[in-house]
Amino acid sequence: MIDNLLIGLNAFADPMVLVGLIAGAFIGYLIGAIPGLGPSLGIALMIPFTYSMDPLVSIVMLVALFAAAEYGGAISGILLNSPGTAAAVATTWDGYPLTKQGKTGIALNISIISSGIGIFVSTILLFFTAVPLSEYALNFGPSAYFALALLGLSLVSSFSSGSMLKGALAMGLGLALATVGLDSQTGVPRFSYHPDFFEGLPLVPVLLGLFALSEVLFMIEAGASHKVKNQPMSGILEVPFKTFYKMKYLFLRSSLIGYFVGVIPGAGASIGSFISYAVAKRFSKQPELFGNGSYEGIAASETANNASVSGSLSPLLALGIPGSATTAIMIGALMIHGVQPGPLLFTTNPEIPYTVFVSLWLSVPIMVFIGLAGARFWAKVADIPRPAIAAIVASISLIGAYASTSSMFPVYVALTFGVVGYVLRKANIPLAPVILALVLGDMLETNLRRALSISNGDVTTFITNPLSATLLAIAALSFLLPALGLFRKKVKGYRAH
Amino acid sequence: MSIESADAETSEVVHKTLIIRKKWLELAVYFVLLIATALYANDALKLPSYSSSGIGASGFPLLVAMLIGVSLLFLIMVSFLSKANSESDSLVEVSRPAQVLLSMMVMVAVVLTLEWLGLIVGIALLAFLLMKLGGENRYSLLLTLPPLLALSIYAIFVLVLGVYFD
Repeated sequence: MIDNLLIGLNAFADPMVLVGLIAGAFIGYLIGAIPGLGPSLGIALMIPFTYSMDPLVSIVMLVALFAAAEYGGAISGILLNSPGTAAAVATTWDGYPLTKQGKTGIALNISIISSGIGIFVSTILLFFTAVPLSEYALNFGPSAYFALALLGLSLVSSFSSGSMLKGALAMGLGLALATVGLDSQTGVPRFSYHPDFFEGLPLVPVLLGLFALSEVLFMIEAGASHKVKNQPMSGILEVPFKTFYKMKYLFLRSSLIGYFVGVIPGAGASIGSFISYAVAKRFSKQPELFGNGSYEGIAASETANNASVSGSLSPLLALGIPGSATTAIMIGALMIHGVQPGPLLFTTNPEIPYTVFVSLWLSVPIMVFIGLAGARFWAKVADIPRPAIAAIVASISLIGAYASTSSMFPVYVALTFGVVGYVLRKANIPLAPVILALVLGDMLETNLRRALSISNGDVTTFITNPLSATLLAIAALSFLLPALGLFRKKVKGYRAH
Repeated sequence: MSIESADAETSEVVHKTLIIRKKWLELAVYFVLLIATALYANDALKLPSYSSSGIGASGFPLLVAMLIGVSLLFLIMVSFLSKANSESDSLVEVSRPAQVLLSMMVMVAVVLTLEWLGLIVGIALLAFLLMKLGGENRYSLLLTLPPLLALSIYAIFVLVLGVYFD
C-alpha cells in the first residue's frame, strides 16, 4: 500500500500534474464562490477542457476542483448570507453573523482551515478503507453488482428529493436514457432513430444541458443581482493557533461524520454538515453561541462538508458506484479518459486512485494558501453580475458540447436537456438520480442479464446470494421507510383531527 | 395560471411573473412523461425478447418502462388527492417568463446558425443577447464582455485544445 502511495506521489514529478492541481483548486474556489454554481456544475463545465489532457492531469484537476468548490460555497455564505452550495448552509448560520459583527476575516480563516483539516483527515480514512473495500469487491459476482448498483440508485433517489416517488421517477428516466443506443450484448439498435444515437446519448452534453444550461435559464429568471457592499477582511491572518487546538476533538468528530455520511450514496455533504453542526452544538460548552457567530459552528460544518468529498470518492474508486451527482459526473470524466473506476482499478491502474489520495492531501496547503491570500478576490467573485455568469456558462456549455465530438449533434443534445432540466427542476423532480441512473444504467442491465444468464433465468439467484439479498433488502427499505414514515404521519394527522 | 407584475430588480424595470398552480404544472409534466413512456414501452415491445444468452434487448427497457409508469400513476394519484399545505406551497413562479422563453430561442437560433456565423461572432452574439435578457443594462459590460469571452473561448478551444470548427 505504501509502495503504491509512492506511485501516487511520483505522479507529481510531472509539473503538469501540479499545475492541474493548482488550476483545479483555483477554478474550484471561483465556481464555489459564485452563488448558484457548485461542484456538479463546475466539473461538468470543466470536462470539455480536459478532452485533450493527460488522464492523470485531468483527474487531479477535477478532484482539486471538487474539493475547492465544496469549500468555495462558504465564501458567499459568510459574506452575503447566500451559500454557494447546499453544503454551506450550516456555515452561513454562524458565518454571516460574524460578518455582521465585523469579523469576516476570522470567519473565512476558520472556514478555510477547517475545510483543509476535513479533507486531510478524511483522506487518511479514504486511504485505509477504499483499498480493503476494493479488495473485498473483487469477489462480487454479477448478482451482487446488480444489487449494489440498484442500492446506490435507490438511496440517491430516496434521499435527493422530498418525494420518493419523484426520486423513483427520476431514476426511471435516467435508466430509460441509458438504454438508448446499440444493445451492448446483442448489438440491436434501441430507441435510435438516427445513426448518431447508436453509441447512446453522449454523457457530457447531457450533463452540460441538465446542470449548466438549466441553471442559465434560472439565472435569466432571477435577473440582475444586487451590488454587494465590500467587507473589511480584518483578522484573516490573526486567528491564534490555540483557537484551533481547542477544537481538536471537534475536527476529528466532524471529519468522521463527514466521511462516513459521504460514503452513503445520496447523503452527501449537506447532510454531513447538518449532522456535524448538530453534534458540535450538543458537545459545545457554549451552545448558545450557535447561530450567533460560533467559531465551532463554522468549523463543524466546514470540516464535515469537505470530509464528505473523500467519503463520496470511496464507493466511486473502490466499487465504481457514484453516490452523488458530482461523483456521477466524475465517473463520466474518468470514462472519457478510458479509466473505469471499480475494484480492478487498484490493480490495473494503481497510479489513478493513489494519485487521487496524494492530490487530496496536497490540495490542502494549496487550498489554504489560495483561500487566505485571495480572500479579497473571492469576495469580489461573489459579486460578478449574474447575467455575465449566465453568458459565460451558456457559451462554455454549448462549445464544450461541440468539442466532445467536433459535431453539432451533442450541441442539440445539450440544448434539449437544458430545457428538460429546467422543466424537471420547476416540477421538483431531482436531477441527481437521472444522471446517476444514466451512468449506472449499462452496468445495472449488463449485470442483471449476466446473473440471469448464469442462473438459467432463475430470478431467485438475487435472493439466494446472501450479499445481493442483503443489498436488495436495504434498497427496498430505503424506499419503504420514507413511505412508512409518511403513512404514520398521515394517520397521526387524521387522529389529531 | 395567471400573470402578475412584480418588481423583480433593483432597477425600476417592472417584470411580469407567471404564476402556475404547482399541481397543474406537475400534472402536465406527468402526462407528457406518461405519453413518452407509452411510446418508449411500445418501441421496447418491438425489440427481440430473447437472445442466445437469455434475456433479450427488450427485457430491461420494459422493466424501466414499468418503473416509470407505476411511479407516474402514483404521482398523478397523489396530485389529485393531496391538498396543498399553504397557498405558497401550491404555486410555482416563473419570473421573467418572456426573457426565459426568449433565452431558449436565442440559444436555439445561435446554435442553428453557428456554422454560418462562425464561432467568434456566434458566441459574442449569444453572450450579448443572454446578458441583455438577463437584465444587464450597463453598456460598458455588454460591449466588452461578449467579444472578450468569444476570443477567450476561441483561444482555449481552437488554439490550445485543438478543437476543429468548420
